[in-house]
Amino acid sequence: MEELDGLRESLLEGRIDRRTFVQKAVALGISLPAASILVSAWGRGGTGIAQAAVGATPKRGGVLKFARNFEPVTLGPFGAADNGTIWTIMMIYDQLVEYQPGSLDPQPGLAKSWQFKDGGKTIVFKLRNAKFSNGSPVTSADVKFSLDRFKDPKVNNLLPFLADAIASIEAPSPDTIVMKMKRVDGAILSNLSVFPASITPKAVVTKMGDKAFALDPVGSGPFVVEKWARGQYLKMKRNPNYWRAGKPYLDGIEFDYITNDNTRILKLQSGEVDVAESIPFSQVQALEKGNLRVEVAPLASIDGIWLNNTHKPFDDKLVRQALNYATDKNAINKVVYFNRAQVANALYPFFKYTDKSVQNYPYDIKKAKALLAKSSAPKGFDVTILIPSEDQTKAQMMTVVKQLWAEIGVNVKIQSMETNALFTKYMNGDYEASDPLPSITSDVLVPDELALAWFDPKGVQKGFWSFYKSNKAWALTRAANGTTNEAKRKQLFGQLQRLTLADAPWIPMFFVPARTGISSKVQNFRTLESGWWNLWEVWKS
Amino acid sequence: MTAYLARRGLHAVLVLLIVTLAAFLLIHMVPGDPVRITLGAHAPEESVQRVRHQLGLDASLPHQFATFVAGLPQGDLGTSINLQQPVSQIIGPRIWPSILLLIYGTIISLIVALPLGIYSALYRNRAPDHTIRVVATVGLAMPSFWFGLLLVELFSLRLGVLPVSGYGTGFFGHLKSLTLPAITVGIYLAPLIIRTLRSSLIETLSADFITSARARGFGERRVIGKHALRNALIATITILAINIGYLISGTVVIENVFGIPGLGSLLVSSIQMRDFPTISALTLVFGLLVILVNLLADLSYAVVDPRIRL
Repeated sequence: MEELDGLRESLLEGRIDRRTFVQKAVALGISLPAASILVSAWGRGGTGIAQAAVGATPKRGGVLKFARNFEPVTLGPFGAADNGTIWTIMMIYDQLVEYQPGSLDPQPGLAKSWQFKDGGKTIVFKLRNAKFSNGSPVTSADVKFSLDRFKDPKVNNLLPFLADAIASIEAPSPDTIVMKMKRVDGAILSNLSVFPASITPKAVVTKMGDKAFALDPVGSGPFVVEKWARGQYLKMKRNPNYWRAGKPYLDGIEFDYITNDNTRILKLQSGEVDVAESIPFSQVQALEKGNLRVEVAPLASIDGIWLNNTHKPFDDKLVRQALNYATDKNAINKVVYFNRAQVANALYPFFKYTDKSVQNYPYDIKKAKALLAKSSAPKGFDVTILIPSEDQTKAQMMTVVKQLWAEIGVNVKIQSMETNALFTKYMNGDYEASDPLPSITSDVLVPDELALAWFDPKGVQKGFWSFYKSNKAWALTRAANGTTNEAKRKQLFGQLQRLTLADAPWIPMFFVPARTGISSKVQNFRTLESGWWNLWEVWKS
Repeated sequence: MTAYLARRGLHAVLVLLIVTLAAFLLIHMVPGDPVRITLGAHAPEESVQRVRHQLGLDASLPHQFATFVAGLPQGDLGTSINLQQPVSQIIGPRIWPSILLLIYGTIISLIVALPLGIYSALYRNRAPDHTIRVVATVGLAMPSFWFGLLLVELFSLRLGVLPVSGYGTGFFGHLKSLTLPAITVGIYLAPLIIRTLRSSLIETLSADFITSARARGFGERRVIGKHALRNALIATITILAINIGYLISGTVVIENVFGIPGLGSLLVSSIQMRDFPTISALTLVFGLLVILVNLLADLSYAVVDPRIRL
């Protein structure tokens, strides 16, 4: 079967995605189940994932030109929490532990090993031999300095609660860090992988001050900032002192900031850039020809419709469940996402402990009607759904929702508003239903961060402003977060997933993937589930 | 002349203050908190309050506006909320791409519009005139971003002679990168000039002094070039100057489509981030630009028409 071999190669090299592979394999006379088995054997998770040709040796050199949608606000670890900033920072700094392609667990970063003691109340990290880009060694004093700042809510404005369980950080010898915990935190390693936990050189930060440092940063990550022309580009070059021997392969990266979707695509097509992010779903297929391909990679991101549980009739669980049943996710996926999104089976993004056997509400009009008939709004009702005006995808999605809900007597009005005006309104609880942000993502690949923020009845986010309250959900969250026992965490988070989905505080719909257009010259490119990329392993042929 | 300039200067300061105040009030009326936007949904409320205090955003609006205005004489445009850098440092490097684009676009529109406008007037109500008017109307109605994308499709993707977007490096790099955006600006502006020039030229051509010039036996070239065109140009310059504001708003879209690091794209991102000081400062700069261009237009009347004394 020569054709099949050809298909296999195309799949491995990412020239075709898994769906195209199955279609073509079926056309070759292979049964659908057999084609699906082949795809899981040959293709890896997600579609169109980058794969270097088997046996090819990475080539050193070259500058990767990368058209980005979002420009950083700052290059310091504590200034801003947008994806423009975070994903760039990850190329400049290292953390003690880091996410790597193909794993939902943090891997050794600046810490080469660690050990949990006293049942998780003490963690001892051994640091590796690493240097900052200015040549000075990364010592335990730098780590202590950086993590003390991570822990200080006056410095770490952004995510201080991720360091809440840490009592103290000690540096008994230059390559040892001893972390004492106030309480056991099952997510502590994941929390130490986030961007405000980046390790920075104490001497440089103290001397320069945060503002100046944020413009001319020094880290131990794979790349060093060369020139930042705001509104235009950020040039970075290889950190010659990077601790992963022989890496990065690239001489440098140039991020070009282009907010217009069409322009980014044209840049890629004309060969002026090698990679372009945020390809609209409608254009993915059209781009996948010639020397271009589109990587559709799973991301810790969720999309859906949030319901204000304090607003009638959404205070009634039957109504919320009815709407969940009335929402045909597969139809929306087909029309809006061209079948490239994954139907969510949890209230929050796809994570390490997500129980794959759990199913989202299936599309069932009869059940939806029956539930609504029993509810406090048996005759249906009017609802206004707020969406960000810049987002075409959400507008399309809500048009389908409007048709679907009309079938059970729910009359939808779609109202679009400028993103930030909308989000202010949303946070004030001044809404009925909303898909409030262009994307809702997690900083870590374990559920702790979002579960703690969303299910804490005394927290600020109050069920991500759905005002959902459940003592059971909070108790499960606390119990799961309070242990380092993996089996127990998996079990408790599974329970949390089922319980909260059944309570239906909102309508979770999709885990939305990243879509990145890539030239065939670029090898070994991968988007991590956390959103950024393995650029230190990328090379150009 | 000096008295005239002094009067205009005073007038300008007043207008600028009013425009800046209006922009300041408008952006504060729109909901959205710049600090919350920067720090993200997960940031605790205490962080947001602390940063608001550090930036003086918890002060009353009149106080905030007064602080902004008080800094102006020293060239202090305030500090960007999101970028945490002085606004003057952020705006400085982004003025030139915008100004270069405006000038380049205007030159292209003049190159296209002057001959067409004259031709149209000379062949009034005949085939060439009708054709030019139809083309001009289509040009006026066409969305500029769409036309820009068509140009990119042709010159960048098919022919590969000009870059898709960006600003290039060095003066000639800038010119090369700005060619397609400038054509887009030019095509947007040209119909206006064609129509104004045509009608004012037609009007002038029926004036007595043209008839007498012809009667004195001057060649048609001299009659049109020296006598008619000079008079007709005044209306055209006025239209150009009045439309500078319109043109600036057009470059906001064009800068975004072509990824040009100018003031327009900065304005869009500042509004999205609710960066109040940057928005106020940009309003001031745009206002200044409009006033300066109008002043230049008024001064140029005197050059074009020696009868006018300022």
